[in-house]
Amino acid sequence: MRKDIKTFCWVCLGVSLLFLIGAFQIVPISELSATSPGGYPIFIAVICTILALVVLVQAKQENVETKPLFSPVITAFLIMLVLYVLAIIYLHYVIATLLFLFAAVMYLKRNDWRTAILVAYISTFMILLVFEYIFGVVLP
Amino acid sequence: MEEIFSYFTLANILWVAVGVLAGIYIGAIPGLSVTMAASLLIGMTFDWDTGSALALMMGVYMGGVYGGSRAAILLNIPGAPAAVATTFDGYPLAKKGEAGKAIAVSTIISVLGGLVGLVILLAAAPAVGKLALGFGPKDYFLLVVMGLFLVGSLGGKSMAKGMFTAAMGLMLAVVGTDPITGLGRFTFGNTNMRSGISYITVMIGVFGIGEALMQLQHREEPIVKQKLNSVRPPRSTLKKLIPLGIRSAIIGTIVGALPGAGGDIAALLSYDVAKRTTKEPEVPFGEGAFEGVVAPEAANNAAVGGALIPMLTLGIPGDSVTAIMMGALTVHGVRCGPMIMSSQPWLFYTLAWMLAVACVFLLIFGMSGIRVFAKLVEVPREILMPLIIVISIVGSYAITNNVMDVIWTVVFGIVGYLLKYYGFPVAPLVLGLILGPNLELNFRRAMISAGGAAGLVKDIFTSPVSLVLVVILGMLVVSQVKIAQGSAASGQKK
Repeated sequence: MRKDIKTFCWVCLGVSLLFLIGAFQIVPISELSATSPGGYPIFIAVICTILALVVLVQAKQENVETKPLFSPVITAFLIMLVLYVLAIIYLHYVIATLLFLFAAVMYLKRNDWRTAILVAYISTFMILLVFEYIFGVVLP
Repeated sequence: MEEIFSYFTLANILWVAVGVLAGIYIGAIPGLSVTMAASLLIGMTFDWDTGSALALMMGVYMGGVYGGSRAAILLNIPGAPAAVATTFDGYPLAKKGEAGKAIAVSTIISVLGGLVGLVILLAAAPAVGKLALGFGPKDYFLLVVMGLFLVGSLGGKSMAKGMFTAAMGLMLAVVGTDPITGLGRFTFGNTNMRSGISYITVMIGVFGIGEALMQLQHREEPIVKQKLNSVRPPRSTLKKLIPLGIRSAIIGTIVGALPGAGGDIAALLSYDVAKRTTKEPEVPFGEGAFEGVVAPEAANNAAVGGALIPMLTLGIPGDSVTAIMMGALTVHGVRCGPMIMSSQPWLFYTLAWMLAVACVFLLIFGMSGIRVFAKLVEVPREILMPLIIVISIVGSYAITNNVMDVIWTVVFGIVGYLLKYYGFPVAPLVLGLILGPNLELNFRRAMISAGGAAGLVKDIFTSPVSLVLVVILGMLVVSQVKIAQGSAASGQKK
């Protein structure tokens, strides 16, 4: 299994260049100076781009036994995270958290539903107690 | 005299204790932070007596800064930016089964750091305040550059990767509103983006969710059993570490006294000095050296006393928590500033005794329950990591009650995972975001007052303070580049 470092470095370079292009659009070029709102962002974006190039040049492909970037567990968790955030927004925090913890522990502990229920209920209760009743945070 | 000790009551002593205990646990739980706790406490203590409100906040401040080191050591998730440097050697110690000893050393040294900070506060507050006043925008600019360079070069194996993520943090800090003209930058017309990207949400995402995803990737790795039969470090070890602790605490207090510099720069600078000055550590730095825990922990707790100096003597907050404390003091009708010793001496001495009491309780609470805490590392990752994710999300929501912060936390959690997977250090990203606004504001102020780049260069080389900072920065750059070239060459030979 190889970590495709060069591809990630190209992505970093791309992001730096996007920042650079965006920085040039903050103020018109005629108004550009070191103290203008656009001056400092351009300076930082240039440094970012140069460093991204250095990292790209120095990057070596590693032939190591390692997990893939989006292994089944990571893919599953990313999907669960997105659904969790959507559930927080459209349902209620408590329901979303109960469902997320139950699903996560069930997935990781291979259908040990007793542990999943225990962890989900106790943790959600503790969070509610600390944040809503002690700190007074109104959860969504 | 009576007025000075008017708040020295049993009730306030107990509030300090409550604050320290709460601070330790808040700081130790990944996803929560001392800044979040302090901002929540302001709301709770609006209608309290001034003394009780201050007692609770001082306790939480001291406990929270120390508590951040626990999560750093046990889980590689610093509870506060000031605990980032503690992960360099603290987590490797936990991986070797020495989490208990690491926490014990960190507790004792944090108390030592806090006491050194207190002594300097009492003895030299006006002098240190005057030194801070002598720092102009160009000096703060150089200090922040130094801090960013340190975090970029110390945080990982590749200096270029570290500096790149620091630069990315600086770029993210640009998002929002221009600090001088109010112009929107990278906001894409969205009003939610005008307030910028909060460093707390990024910190929680990158350190909390990012680390949780990384640990889930490797959840089949065997869990290291912690050696808990004796967690107290031997006296001979402590005797060796205390002088380093005192030196680091002095650095921490002075850096902490510079407004905006804070415990994060103090901890990094102390770590770097310790790395250079420790002759023949038993274990190399970065692989579980106790010296690598002592230096940042002494510095970040000493910075608590240091941060109070500009707050009390100049009316300028030393860091984000003292900024919140100043807000709380304003609500209670108290104003900090140069006249404090003549108009309100009670405030100075009240905070000083509260800091002393907080150190005592820190030792008591810090040394108890170490075995229980160290066992946290042995909790199955299948249970611990989902919990960390959930707490991270509620922690980021609790700051501003805005669901947008939750979305940012998840986004940066994924970014943090990607960076860690490809071997990029993540601490520089967070510190770049924290220090970015400071860097830009001071750079632009320095340029405006000097009348341009040529004038700024001339000002830097004609000011003693700036010249010293430039020399230190130059030495740091040269030595770190040499170290980086040396590591690259030895890597090639292998």
